[in-house]
Amino acid sequence: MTKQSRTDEALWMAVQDLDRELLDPGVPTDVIDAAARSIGLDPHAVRAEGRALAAAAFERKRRGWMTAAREKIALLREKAKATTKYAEMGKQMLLEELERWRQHPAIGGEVRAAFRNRKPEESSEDDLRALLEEIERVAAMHEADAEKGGGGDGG
Amino acid sequence: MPDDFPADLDWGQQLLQGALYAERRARRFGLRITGAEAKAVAGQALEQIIAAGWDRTLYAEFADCVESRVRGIIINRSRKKATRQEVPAEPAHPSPTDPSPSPEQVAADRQLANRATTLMLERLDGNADATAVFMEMAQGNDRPADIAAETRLAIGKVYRARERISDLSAEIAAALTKELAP
Repeated sequence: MTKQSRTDEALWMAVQDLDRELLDPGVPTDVIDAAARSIGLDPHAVRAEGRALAAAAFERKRRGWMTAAREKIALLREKAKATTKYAEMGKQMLLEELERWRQHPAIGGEVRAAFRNRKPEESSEDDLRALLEEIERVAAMHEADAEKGGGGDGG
Repeated sequence: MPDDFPADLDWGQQLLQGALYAERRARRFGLRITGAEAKAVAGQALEQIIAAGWDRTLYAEFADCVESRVRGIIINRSRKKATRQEVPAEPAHPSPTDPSPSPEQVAADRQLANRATTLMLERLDGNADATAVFMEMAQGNDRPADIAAETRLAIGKVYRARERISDLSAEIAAALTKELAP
């Protein structure tokens, strides 16, 4: 091994970095246990506590994910229920609804694109109803995706 | 999603080593925390990591992830608890965010590091193992296994000596900061 003398600054920095060694998986167990006892910790009890803490944290995370999924399903169901209203609407009202969706900030572009080569007035009432129901479903999915994107994963 | 933790990751060992690191780190910031408080800090860090996931693009080693979280919690505590004067900077650690320290600052850092290493040798007097390990480090030898081979000390003794050196460095850092305070 080639040895090279360090400057005092380099040596002092290396010494200060020794803290990090406490996290090194290669430190012998007896050294870690002795250090733990020196600050009043029972190493065996702390290890057991750590495993329980992690299990609880993972369970909380899993439940958090399930709750979010349930909320999204409920939202989609709610939106699906809303589509029944189109059955009672006449053509003029259906066209007004369509116009409202054409102005929608998230999916308005897709709605306008659907009528690029024809006029909405040329569609039958049944076609308009089917289209509006589809638009509602797409909007609900957009909303769910936007919420998912806004949740953030962090690191 | 960055949360694929290895199946064999021992969370118990992580809590224990995280607590030791938290206690040491707190001391470096001039905070005295009990073992139980250190364990709580490490627990909080592990919960944060589990909730957020382990982002390997930021932290190649899991220990890096724990180090970052624990250090963040300790820094927040030190800011809340202590007044500015009570929070010691790390004297011989030139700020890594300072792109080009002035010549005066370079000279001051050098002088401070010299004083710190001299104090270390004084305080290690009588501890043959720690002195031998410190001298190896002064030669640029950092790996415990290499130090053990060079000094013929058992690896456990090398780790204990390094722990002693680290303890003393925190004390010296605090002493020097006090000495330099206006």
